[in-house]
Amino acid sequence: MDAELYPYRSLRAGDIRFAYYRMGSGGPPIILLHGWPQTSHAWRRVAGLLSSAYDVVVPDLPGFGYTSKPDAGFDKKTIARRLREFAHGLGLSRVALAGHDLGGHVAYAYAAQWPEEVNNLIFIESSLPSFGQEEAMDVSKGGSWHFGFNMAGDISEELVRGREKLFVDHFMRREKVGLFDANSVSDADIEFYARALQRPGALRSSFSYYRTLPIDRSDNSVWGQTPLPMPVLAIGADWGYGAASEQTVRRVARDVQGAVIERCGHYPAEERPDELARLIADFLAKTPSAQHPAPQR
Amino acid sequence: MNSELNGFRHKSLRVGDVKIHAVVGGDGPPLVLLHGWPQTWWEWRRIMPVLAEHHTVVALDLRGAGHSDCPQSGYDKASLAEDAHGAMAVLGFSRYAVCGHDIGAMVALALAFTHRESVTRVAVLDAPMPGWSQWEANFADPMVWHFAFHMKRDLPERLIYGREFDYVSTFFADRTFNHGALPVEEVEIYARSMAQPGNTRGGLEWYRAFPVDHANALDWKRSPLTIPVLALGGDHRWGPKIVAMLEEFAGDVSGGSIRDCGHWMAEERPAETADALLKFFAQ
Repeated sequence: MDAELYPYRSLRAGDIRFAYYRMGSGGPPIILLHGWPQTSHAWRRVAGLLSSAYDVVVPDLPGFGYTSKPDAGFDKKTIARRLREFAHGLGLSRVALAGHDLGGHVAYAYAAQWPEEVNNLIFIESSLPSFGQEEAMDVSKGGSWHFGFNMAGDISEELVRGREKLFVDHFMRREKVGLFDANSVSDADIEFYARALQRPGALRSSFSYYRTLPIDRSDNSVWGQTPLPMPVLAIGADWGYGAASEQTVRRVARDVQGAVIERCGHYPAEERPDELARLIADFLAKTPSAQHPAPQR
Repeated sequence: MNSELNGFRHKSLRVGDVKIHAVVGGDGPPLVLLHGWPQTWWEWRRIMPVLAEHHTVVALDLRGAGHSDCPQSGYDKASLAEDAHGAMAVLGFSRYAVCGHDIGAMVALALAFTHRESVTRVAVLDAPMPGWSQWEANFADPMVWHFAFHMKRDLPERLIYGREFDYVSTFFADRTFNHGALPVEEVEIYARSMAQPGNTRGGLEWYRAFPVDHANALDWKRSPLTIPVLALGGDHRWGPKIVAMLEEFAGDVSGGSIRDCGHWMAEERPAETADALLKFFAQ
């Protein structure tokens, strides 16, 4: 494993010990948020590409990887609050945020609660509760089984325990929305994610991100009444959610650009890192930080 | 399972190209019992002796469960109904009453529609029916998260393997009101049955056939049943909804809820369940 490429650091913020890596010697800060069931490892290819122009910060979200696994507080409102404490701990009071999958939920919760602290938002292969995710969860209309499974309770942990690699491999290489090129992520990478899920409390924490979706739904429905003021880039993948990410974001923001990466599944940071990094860099270059008007609170 | 029940005989019936396990006993008009998931004929053990005082009782293991075969296909409810009809024919019964629980209730309804000339009365115990107007909306109910999980191909078998007891015991407990009725040793019997080669897959196939079942049932309900239908559920599960549900399929529906009862009616409230069934089938 090329973990040497990004030596982890630790930062205590509130009651959470955050594990993260940081690249780049200057430039505006961008925080990259991974999705489920992954870790900051998902950004290993993109982080380096952005580091020449940006201060790239890549944390493991609370409950994932080497970051603390708290007993509670997995609703995205709370996760975003903890992430903001982490950013402030690094001295970053205004940031660009990029979130993939559930990381997109967290990025939205951050941007919606503290819009004056988020210069730009990049929303990748994700959909938001209250604003489109319900369709992905509706099994009678082709939605995925894993929402109900992940939310079911202790039995989910019990069935996956010891079978984490099978589980991660299933999701990353599943027929529907999985990798376009099944080998673009190596077995060693799958193993890396699986081992992260094997740590005590990891499955509980990862499923807790789903079990709090009903709370997120009601938080989002309130926040969504005020459109996000900052520029937002929504990125989909043609073998993943396609245009759904942009459709979701258009319901909660007014300054939205969309892009769809071709021949790519649900994991563009790993499957199309060059294209994703270029989309992010072009977006940030066109929408420099601090140019959007201060929001009314 | 091959557990013995006094006064009943185990039979292996050749029905088409599958073997169907039947447990048969009693005297009187024939009554076939169709179990649900994750169970076998054994779910009826507490009420079979009472029913057998008035009926020739035939408790089957469905294709995919217990000691019946687990072939690669044929798990839609019409096919499972054909197995039951074939088993009754092998036993020499051309007209019979039907009682099904859970998945078995879906099979019972399918049997009533596909063999109208043979089925005299049908009792439907605690289950949602494919073809019901709320069938698709029901998938959003957190209590049926397992529908989608079971419908997923291959992966559930891998996740359940070796953990049949953990899965089955959680499944029972989450849907039980009278926990005294299902002690660990009883749950263990079902878990061990599921652990037999092919049985985990067999039971999951019943769910994978739901799209076919729903399409079939929508077709069937255009000509509602005219035979009497008993729709009965636990008051803590399907009881409050089940009569209105079945009225979409039949003109003569009675029933309602059994008190202080979850999903496992013949085990949680055997006396009340047997009483309701005997009254219905005696009419």
